[in-house]
Amino acid sequence: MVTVLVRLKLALLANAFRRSAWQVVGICLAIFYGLSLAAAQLASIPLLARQDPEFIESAWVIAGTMVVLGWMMVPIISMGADMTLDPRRFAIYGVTARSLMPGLGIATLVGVPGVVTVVLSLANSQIWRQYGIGVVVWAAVCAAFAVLLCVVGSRVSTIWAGRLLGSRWAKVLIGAAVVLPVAAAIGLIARRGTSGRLEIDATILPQIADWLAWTPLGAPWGVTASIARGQYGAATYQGLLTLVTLVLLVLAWWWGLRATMEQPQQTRLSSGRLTLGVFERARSDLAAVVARCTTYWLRDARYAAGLAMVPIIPLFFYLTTGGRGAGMLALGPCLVFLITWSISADVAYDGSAFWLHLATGVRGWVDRVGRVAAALMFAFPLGMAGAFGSLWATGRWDATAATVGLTLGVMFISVGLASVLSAVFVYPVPAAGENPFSAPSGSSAVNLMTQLVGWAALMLCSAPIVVTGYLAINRASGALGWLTLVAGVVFGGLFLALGVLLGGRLIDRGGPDLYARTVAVR
Amino acid sequence: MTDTPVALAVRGLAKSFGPKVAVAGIDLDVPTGSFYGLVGPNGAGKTTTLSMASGLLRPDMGEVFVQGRNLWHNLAEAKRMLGILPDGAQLFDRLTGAQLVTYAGLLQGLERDEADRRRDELFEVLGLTEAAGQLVVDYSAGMTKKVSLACALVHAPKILLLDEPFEAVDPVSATVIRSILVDFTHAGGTVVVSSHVMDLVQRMCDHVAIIFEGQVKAAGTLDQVRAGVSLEERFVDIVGGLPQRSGLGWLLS
Repeated sequence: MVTVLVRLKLALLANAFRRSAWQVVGICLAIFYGLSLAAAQLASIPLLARQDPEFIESAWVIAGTMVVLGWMMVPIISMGADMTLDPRRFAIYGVTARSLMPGLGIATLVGVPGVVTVVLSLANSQIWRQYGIGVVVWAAVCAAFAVLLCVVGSRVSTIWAGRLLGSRWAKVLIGAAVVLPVAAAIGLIARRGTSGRLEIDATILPQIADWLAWTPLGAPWGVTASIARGQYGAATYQGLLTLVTLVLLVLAWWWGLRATMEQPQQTRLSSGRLTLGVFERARSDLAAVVARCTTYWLRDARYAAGLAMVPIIPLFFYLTTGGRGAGMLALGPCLVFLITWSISADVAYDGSAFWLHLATGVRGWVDRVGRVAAALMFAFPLGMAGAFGSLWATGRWDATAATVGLTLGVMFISVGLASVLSAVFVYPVPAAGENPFSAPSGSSAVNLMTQLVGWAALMLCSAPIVVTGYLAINRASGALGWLTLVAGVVFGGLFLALGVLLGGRLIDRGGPDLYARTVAVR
Repeated sequence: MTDTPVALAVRGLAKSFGPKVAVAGIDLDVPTGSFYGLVGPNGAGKTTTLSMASGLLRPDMGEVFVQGRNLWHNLAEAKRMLGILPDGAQLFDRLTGAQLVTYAGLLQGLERDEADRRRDELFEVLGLTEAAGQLVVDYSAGMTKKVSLACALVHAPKILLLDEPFEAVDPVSATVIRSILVDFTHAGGTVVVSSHVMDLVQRMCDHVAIIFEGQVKAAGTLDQVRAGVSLEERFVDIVGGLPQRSGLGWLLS
């Protein structure tokens, strides 16, 4: 069984090279990138080995814990990208979970990430050289256990990601994945607010390492550090913690694998309570399209992922501009662009479900306006919040008209262009229910070109407003500010109307061809 | 054909996907009030033909007439007369069943109250009332078929084009659907279904066309086509018999 699974993994890896030329180029670049990073790390080992003991201990524990955490997180973040050994696929064969486990585990290590992890973990035991050969050997043994933890951990999260992420739990997990870093960053900022400057306190790292050494993921690395310090009692306890973690994870893996093999498809039942949600008040075809799109913005992880990015953007702006200066005022326009631009993929997101619009003969402009209205329902309040938030942060209330005008202008032009773009191009997107962060394979070059063309057009179209707004903010000119506001509303509004009408005409005329493309990209 | 008016006429329809010819010139006349079955093996071009006849797929060549009017020249108008159930197409499956059918009704231009009334009645008849509040993505294959059928019926079309409407549907629901369709034809509606279940077509349909390799091999009333034998025998006859089969001795031991 082990050889069968390892061969399967090798065959799958080899087949990756039998796809389109561009993809092979991409794979080669990725491998080259990974290998050069690994080589750079290997080259730094002699240097690391000469550092002071405290540095070696904390670097070993912190970096090691990150590796284990990374192995456990990758299947969740990139689910759908690499499900080559998705246990659900073995459900139809008469094999038991127990017979699959060793093979799946070893096959996990076959491939670039696995090989790099094994080599780096074992090679880095050399950084303990100044403690004598005994500690180096212990470090290598502990690293081997840590690799085992990586493998088992990644298998457990693959199983649970596969079982949970296919469902509406996706939203919860994405929410958590977004909220946690944001919360951490806010904590950082709060610190920064008191100390005035952003600095990483070097003395905190050993404390973090000491703390991590007592967590399940950091324990195998902590053992080495404790042995090096001569704290054999702590080393024993950490070793025990490692073994218990491993046993528990293996049990979770086995349990999940067995459950997956016995019940590959999870049946989900909801309460069955009959509510029509936002459809409750829809009275016309246009209102129905708005209701449908709004429902999707909230319920479809692909849109929700876009909205989930919203809290990160202000943070990013704050960190890069320091919350001051004209740069911060670009927050509003950036937010509305990010939100509204996702409707440039709207028909692609519909996929072949778009047939319903065709079959009912709904007029093109109704289709377009409905989608635009749903996007604006989110973009307008969030964009305004961003604009006024940035004004508040910078104290540049004199630039209110310019900032609001800029935000509105970019918003209208962006939805107008997106309405045309999505009536012409359908590019491959993750299907509903798939991980929204995974890019589907194939024609990524086409994808990129479409986006580049779209962005170029957007920049060109919004240039007049952006230039006026920039001058108004830069020269603190009230007159130019008001001009930006008027231009943003009038010029932007004109663009929106044109985009909707043209997009609608394109749908009316080329609807069936668009539909054929949604079927073809699947 | 007879003196009954033609509900749906197809003339010289052809479609290729790249080098592969899916439909190579099909002519069909579907009389008003008939229950018309399209049969053919997998990959014969049934789905492609129905897609083109329902205005979802632009034909390379040929024309489609819905009650005498050219479909591809009057798409919006002609589509109000058609009820379509495509096979294998996705639905807006993040909506609940009730939301989806409401959506289809409103897109068809129904008044809201009327749409609600018809939706509830359809759900009742199709046995979906319990599941009305569930997301369509959580439906079973048969329930998905039934909710698609509800979408196709909600605007009271004159002609139904149903691609594999009975696939994965349980026997009770299939009987209900069949009786709905039969009543529909008695009231002057026209139904075109595709299927590869000969038995079903023979029991249900009054007209049949056998499609093979993108062409109509036989068409007409059921009795004309089957020419005294069962439809299945006639079908195997036309399609060219069974392939030579090896013994599979290891399976039978």
